[in-house]
Amino acid sequence: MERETFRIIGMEGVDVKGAKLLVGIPDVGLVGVIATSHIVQSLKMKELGHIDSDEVPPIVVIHENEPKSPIRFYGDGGNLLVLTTEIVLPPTAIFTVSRGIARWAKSQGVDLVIGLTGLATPNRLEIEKPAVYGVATNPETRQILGKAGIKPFEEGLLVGTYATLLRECLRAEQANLTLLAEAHLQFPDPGASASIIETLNRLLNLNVDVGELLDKAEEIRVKARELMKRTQEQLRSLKKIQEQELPGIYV
Amino acid sequence: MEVAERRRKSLFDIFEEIVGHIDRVIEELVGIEICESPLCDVSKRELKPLVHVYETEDEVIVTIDLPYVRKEDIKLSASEDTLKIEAPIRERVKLSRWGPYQREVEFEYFRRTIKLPSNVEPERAKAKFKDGILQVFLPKKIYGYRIAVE
Repeated sequence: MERETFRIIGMEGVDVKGAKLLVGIPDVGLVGVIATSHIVQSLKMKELGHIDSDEVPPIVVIHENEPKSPIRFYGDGGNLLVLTTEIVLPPTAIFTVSRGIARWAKSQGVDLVIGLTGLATPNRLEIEKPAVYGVATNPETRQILGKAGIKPFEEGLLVGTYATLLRECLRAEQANLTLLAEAHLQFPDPGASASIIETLNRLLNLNVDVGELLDKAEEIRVKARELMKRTQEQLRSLKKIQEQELPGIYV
Repeated sequence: MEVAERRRKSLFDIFEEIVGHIDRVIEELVGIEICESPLCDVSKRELKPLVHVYETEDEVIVTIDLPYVRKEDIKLSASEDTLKIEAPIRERVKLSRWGPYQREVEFEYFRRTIKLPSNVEPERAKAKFKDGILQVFLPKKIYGYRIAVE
């Protein structure tokens, strides 16, 4: 009998049919984590459930004296869902969690899984307003990209957690859109997160103010240092640097 | 030249260099830090800034994340193989009831000494600071002789 290694807990009674699921996992510039955290706070989203897996590191997050799983779902009561995590997933857990999310989303009728991340940009310091690029898994979603004025990520490699999520969504035939904002590879980048949120405002007709996020940028950069350090270690082990290499031969 | 240089160093220095080299190789291969320590020292009220060290053919480029720091407060010094950064934090950073310190803790300083991957010429180093990020460009020390190609 196959060991059950992935469970979604607390979402049984929640109707997520037609929902858009935003995913924020530690990666380049912590863009997704910072963006999803700001969205949850701004829209006062409620915690709905969490992901559990034997492959997730033995960590419990304690907020206001209450133990919580580090990978949690939030909802706004409408059709917006957020999945966010405060821990760096080991490579084996990346596969299990990505596969689990993709299959669960497909089985529950989630309309679109939207991965939020950064695109490591060597000259990020010279860029005032980071551009946002998108990769979509099907023609319908690619059309949405065009309508929202999101530049397509035309050529290149994606490495790491969001690449696995994209691949697992393809396998499960679950629509996926991955948004990548130009970002610092090694440092938390609230500016890149603000660009992603502005793009989501246009794409999903949200109204999330990024002013407060930008005002708190320095505080976020201080508080996210340890998470960024662990993410740096993970990105090194996943050979994230491949994204910046010159293209190989594509047929 | 290298042998003469080694004679001037103590056995302890040489041993430390070798251990440092092995740590860096393992860090590169496995992607983990050997001596894991948090990026803060509560007793000294210090934070270690996040650092990215990048090496080109000609120089070592060190990028340091310094939120809450003013350009004029940064103290930067370098030797052939280390870079030291010290900077007071503009506003005290407070964390309340956090982790092992279930009380308020404050931080006043960023401080870190960075071991460089190659020997550099510190007197030729340049630095720039923008949006709370410091970039230091350290030209590598050139060894050897130019060989003419006939």
